[in-house]
Amino acid sequence: MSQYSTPPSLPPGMPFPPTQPGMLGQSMPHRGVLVLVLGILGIIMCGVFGVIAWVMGNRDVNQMQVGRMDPSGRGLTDAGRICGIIGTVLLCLQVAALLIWLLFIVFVIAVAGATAAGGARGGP
Amino acid sequence: MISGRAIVHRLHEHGVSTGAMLGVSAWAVAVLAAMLVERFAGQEVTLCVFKRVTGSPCPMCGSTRATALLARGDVGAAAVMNPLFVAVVAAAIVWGVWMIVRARTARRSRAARGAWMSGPWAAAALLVVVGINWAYVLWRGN
Repeated sequence: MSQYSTPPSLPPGMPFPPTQPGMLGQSMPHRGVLVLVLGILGIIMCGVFGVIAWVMGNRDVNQMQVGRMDPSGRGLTDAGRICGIIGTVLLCLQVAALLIWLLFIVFVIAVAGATAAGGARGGP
Repeated sequence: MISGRAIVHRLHEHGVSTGAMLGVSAWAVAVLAAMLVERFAGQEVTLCVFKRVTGSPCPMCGSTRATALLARGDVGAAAVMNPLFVAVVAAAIVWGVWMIVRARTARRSRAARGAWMSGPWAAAALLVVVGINWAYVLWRGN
């Protein structure tokens, strides 16, 4: 039997196994709290915060996977990222509802205009 | 010349997922639609769900009107409408320029980049800034 065990398979996009913080002397501290706060603001207030949380969360998770960021904040970062995704989805739904409402208003105005024009032509 | 595909690729490299791009695009479409309705129908459109539900403005309320003012080049009036929004737009522009410049210049060490945003104090500072802006927006009645 070999003295060395087989290295575990890595998920796609991870070029080398995660390292401990400070192992390469380049590890950044995590920003999990900031990402989580942005994500929560994205859900309860403005979806734009959610977009920022999603982007920052994605970056930080990637950095943690390749060992460039302190992985102890992974839970907070993931939570913030998910809140950011929810906030962004809510923003998109809100925009879709607004556009449908605007189309409805345009349709009503067009129908009213056509009816008024038809009434004027058909009058005595 | 930088192609659109190259910009999207670079944004993906920086963690900007397609969904996030869609979110920003959706928001831009909503702001544009609201500006058009306001201009041609004279009706003010409230995009903010928070304001619709609670009746009070959220910290970013006034962003649509600030965008319209920015589009006209009136930065001062936009900053009076919503200072935080104008600061976010300025930061986004600086970040975009920095992203392009960084690709052509020497990189700083990865440990130095973004380290100032770590720790609970950064989140506390964000909450303080958002809170001050919210107080201002409430006082102004956006």
